[in-house]
Amino acid sequence: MYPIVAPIIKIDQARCTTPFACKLCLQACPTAVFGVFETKMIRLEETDKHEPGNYRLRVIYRDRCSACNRCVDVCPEHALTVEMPAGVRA
Amino acid sequence: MCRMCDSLGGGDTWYLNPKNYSNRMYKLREPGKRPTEALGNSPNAGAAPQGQTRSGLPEAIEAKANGDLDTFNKIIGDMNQRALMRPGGQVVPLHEVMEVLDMGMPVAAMMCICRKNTRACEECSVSEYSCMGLGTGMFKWERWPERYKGGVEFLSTKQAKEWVEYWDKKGMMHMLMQEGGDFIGGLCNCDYPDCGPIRHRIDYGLYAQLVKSEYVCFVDWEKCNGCGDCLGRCHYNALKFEATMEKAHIDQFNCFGCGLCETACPRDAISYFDRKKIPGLANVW
Ligand code: SF4
Ligand code: SF4
Ligand code: SF4
Repeated sequence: MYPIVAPIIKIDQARCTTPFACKLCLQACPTAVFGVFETKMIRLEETDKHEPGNYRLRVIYRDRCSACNRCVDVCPEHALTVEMPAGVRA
Repeated sequence: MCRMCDSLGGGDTWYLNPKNYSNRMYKLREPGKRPTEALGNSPNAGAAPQGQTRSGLPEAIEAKANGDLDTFNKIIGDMNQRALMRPGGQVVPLHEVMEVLDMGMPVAAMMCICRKNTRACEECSVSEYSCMGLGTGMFKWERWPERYKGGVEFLSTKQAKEWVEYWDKKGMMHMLMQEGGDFIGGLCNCDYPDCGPIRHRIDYGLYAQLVKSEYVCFVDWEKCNGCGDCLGRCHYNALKFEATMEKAHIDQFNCFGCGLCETACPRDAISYFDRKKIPGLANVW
């Protein structure tokens, strides 16, 4: 294995507000790079997936991202950007 | 012998030993001892022994993504050392899942947390549930559904068998998981990449979280006609079509012995062999 630098994935949390209900990027990524987690529990119960902020989208397996940009394309909120780090030739 | 049989099997396969499912075992946590934390969840899970990094999988992945393979290998090595100290999950083929279900403990279907987190799958009822809890702990889960993430649905032995067969047909392999120490508490139906333990082992080399099954599968080339029905069932990159031979081909070292290819073959061309009896594979877990 030789060192490969992975793309930088940015999630604009102000735009991506209901990821568990939306789930488009989570299901579009060929390598399942993303994860979604609840941010809030009320009396140990999860809360409404349609209410903004109750779930949060996170990048879990960044090393498996190829910057294929499928997630960027499916996101209706334009919340995602995926780019190679500065200085790395594409 | 895998390390779980060593410590829990009482001279036999650990998951076929009913003791590991008993009520007593469930309650038997040393005073003051906390349940073993899931690997990779938190960078601070468990105290790091002397000389080891305190990091978990997120740090390892970050290092790898930044091209720092030395740090990646160091963290993974340390995580493996720590994980070897306690039991993990093991791949179990369908016919042994049936034996486990025959042991008659309470079994209950529930949603899969891995699939929920990676693909945002919502399994809301028994027709969608893909994970199963075993043992008396399930009564607690039934009693407090909101606390135990959606609750559970109890199944009779017959229903449970049909349910596992359904997932087997769909292409999910089966894994027994222990919960909070040495108690066997879960039976998952898993696939790559949704399943955490499979993924962590295949992509990151965390081999202690998920141990291979007691078996390894071989194709009988006399019987195989190359129909290809088994192809696409393997989650472990072990099964291919060998064009030269026009037969299915299993890589013995990649094979986890899950038996998904075996349950798909209409010609009985694939069979299980005891891993422990094959000298070069006896230590490949
Ligand atoms: S760019 Fe492609 S590989 Fe990377 S996260 Fe998006 S869909 Fe996945
Ligand atoms: S070759 Fe067959 S038994 Fe071996 S891991 Fe793949 S599907 Fe499972
Ligand atoms: S399903 Fe059976 S007969 Fe068909 S290719 Fe696979 S091993 Fe051969």
